[in-house]
Amino acid sequence: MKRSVVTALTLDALHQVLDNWVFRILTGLTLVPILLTFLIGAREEGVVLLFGLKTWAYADLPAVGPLLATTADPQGVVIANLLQLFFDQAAGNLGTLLAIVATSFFVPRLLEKGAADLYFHKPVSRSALYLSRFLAGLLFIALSSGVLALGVFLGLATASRHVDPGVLLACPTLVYVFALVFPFTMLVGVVTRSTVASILLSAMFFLFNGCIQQAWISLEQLEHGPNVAALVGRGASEDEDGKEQPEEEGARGVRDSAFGRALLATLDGARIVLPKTSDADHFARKLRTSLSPPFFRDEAEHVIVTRLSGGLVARTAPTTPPPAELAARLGTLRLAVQSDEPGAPETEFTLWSRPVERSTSTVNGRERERVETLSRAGEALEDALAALGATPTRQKSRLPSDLDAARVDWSATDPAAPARLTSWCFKGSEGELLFTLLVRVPGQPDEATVEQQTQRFTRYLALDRTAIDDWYPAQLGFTAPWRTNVFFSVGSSLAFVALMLSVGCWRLRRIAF
Amino acid sequence: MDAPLLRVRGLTMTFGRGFRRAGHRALDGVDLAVGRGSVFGLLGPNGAGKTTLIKVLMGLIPGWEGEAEVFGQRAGAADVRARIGYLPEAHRLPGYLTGRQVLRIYGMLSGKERRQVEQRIPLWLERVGMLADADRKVREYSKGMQQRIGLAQALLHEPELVFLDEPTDGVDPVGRAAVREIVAELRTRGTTVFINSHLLMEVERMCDRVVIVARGRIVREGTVDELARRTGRVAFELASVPAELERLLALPDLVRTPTGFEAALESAQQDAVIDRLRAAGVSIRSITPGRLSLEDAFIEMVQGDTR
Repeated sequence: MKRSVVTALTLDALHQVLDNWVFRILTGLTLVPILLTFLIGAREEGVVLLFGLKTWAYADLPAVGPLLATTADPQGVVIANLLQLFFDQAAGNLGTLLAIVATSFFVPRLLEKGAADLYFHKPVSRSALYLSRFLAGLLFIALSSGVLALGVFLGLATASRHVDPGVLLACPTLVYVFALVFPFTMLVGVVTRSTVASILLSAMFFLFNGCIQQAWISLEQLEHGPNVAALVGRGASEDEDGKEQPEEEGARGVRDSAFGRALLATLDGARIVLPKTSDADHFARKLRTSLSPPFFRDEAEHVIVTRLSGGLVARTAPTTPPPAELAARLGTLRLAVQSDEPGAPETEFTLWSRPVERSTSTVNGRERERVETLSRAGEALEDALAALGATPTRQKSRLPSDLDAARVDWSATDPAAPARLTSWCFKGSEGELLFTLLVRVPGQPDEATVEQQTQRFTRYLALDRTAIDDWYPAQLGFTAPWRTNVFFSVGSSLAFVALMLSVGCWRLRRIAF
Repeated sequence: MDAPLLRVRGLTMTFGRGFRRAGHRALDGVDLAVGRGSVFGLLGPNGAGKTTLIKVLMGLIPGWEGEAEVFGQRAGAADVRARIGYLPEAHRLPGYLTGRQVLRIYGMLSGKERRQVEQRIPLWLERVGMLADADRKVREYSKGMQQRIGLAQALLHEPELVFLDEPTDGVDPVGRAAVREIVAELRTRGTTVFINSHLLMEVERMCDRVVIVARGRIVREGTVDELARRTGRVAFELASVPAELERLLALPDLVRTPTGFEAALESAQQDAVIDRLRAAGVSIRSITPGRLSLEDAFIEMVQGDTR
């Protein structure tokens, strides 16, 4: 095709989009979240109005304050929720629906008597003109979502001091989702030549397809996903008496019934054929996570340290390692962090993990497996420390993120290197590993200093509750099984797009104007 | 003789034909051959097949049967369409564009480079009298203004063959004069123009040849003079009309006109009348043979075909 023809079609698409009143409304609406992100910032210290005019601590916020106070990273939680609201809910669902409404007339209007003659008598193929309308639709959503993503990115960077390039991924994600739905809209348009029919059928298709995709993902997650109860509740560490908790089989046993199997087969079939619109959000989430990964993450137990407070730096090994006997009790070193702030104690944080200990006992003739509890783990640590000459004190406690833990405090026995030490034993979501956080504050600090120093690290240590949402994105991969393979997801979706566009072009070629 | 610019043989187009439906035959074996540089009037009653014929030649209607060639290639081919200008009847220009943008985009869609198009836009805007309103949105235009921009888009890429479907529809008298002028220029340049219009007076003034279509067939083709045949009456324009004109000429059906008279005269009678007027010292300014208007001829032919 000649360059001038391509230019003409692009110009036509651009003018059509810019003149569209729904586009203008949509662009106006995108300014609302952009303005919000500029005016209200979510910083480490709290919510900030107008770049510092007024600041509220997260715990003091009405309604959500108590909840945020228990989270490891309230700033991260607030920003993540805002992004979810802006992009997933507002732009991803409402925005896509509005975009469908705004672009549904593209094809019917092209085919109206009087307009069609003018376009189709030109030496441009009908398919090219049809595809130019597809391009116009993509341009529409790309401009709207581009303004939104860039605006929110800049707003977060300036008002919240949170630079997250992953925010910009919202634009290609929304374009991709729209690109999967719009060919259907166009096909309805070319078959019915009615804008109303295009809007109604497309909106129904978008919602129906979204439900199918989400249902499929939810069932996959229920069957193969993480221990949701542990992540949303207290974790796997509450079985103080050491009894193994029965696994919740209800949802995971869908395939046990004939109805369940038929339902899953139908869902599987629909999933294969229909465009995978939901996967787009999950790709974006995966990419966003990979662009801004947490400082530490245990993939199996979903234990994370979202970030390090200012003044803390990561080390490859602790400067003052624990005695060998104690280290053997703690297990494998997972991370080491040290305070590097001038004038502050050089507090050291180390995180260790080892498999929980299991033993069997016979009660009334029945053999039962007993799993190491937190209190037992604390006791064992206490014993090991006592053997080293320390005088530990143990208490049941909780980490700031509301995670159950057994806390043991003691002082260093070496008079040449005095220090206050605190350990926190806790378990991850699956309860297979026992984690121990060891905090070493050098010198002879008072209790308040120890607490203050400890919280600099523990405020960002938590169970990764987003793991429930992150589970499916984590399954998606280029080498994953076909059901969650990226090539299959994108390939089959694009095949759907190609089919819709081909049928549309075929139908258009047969129309007598 | 040059190869015809446009050749149609046995062209048939049936709409709505289905498994158990015969459909409506809009074109029924049309034969037509057209050379270069003429202005054709395409006439016919409503539903005669005029627009269908044009649309088939423009590639807008698939499924036709027979032969239709333009520039020696099958009608509707992209290469062919690039050399044709078309102003559709009751066209609807995109309301979101300005007049200038319409010409830019449609000019480039016609295959011309943007630079060429940009050079021609002001010329054509001026030609159709739209230079002052070129940057207003089309949706703000009156019907006549849209028609003018539509005409400009049809001609901007300097086509060799032009189809104008009701080109003066909604255009004011000044605009109609401009259209006539443009058509005359096209003729001079050697462009072949087809004008489909119900305003037969316009056709008579603009066209060299006329094709009359009725019930999907071409019923007559010829020059305007051939179709609008003579009535047998002759109009004389005189420098001064003598008071005793009737007595002087002694013609039974003489009718006075403001500048002279008219009467039914054979050739021999005409000479005698001229002699008598000269003998009486009356100066003759012009002698015009009266003829049937194209409209009268058209009605007569179409009614004759219908019967």
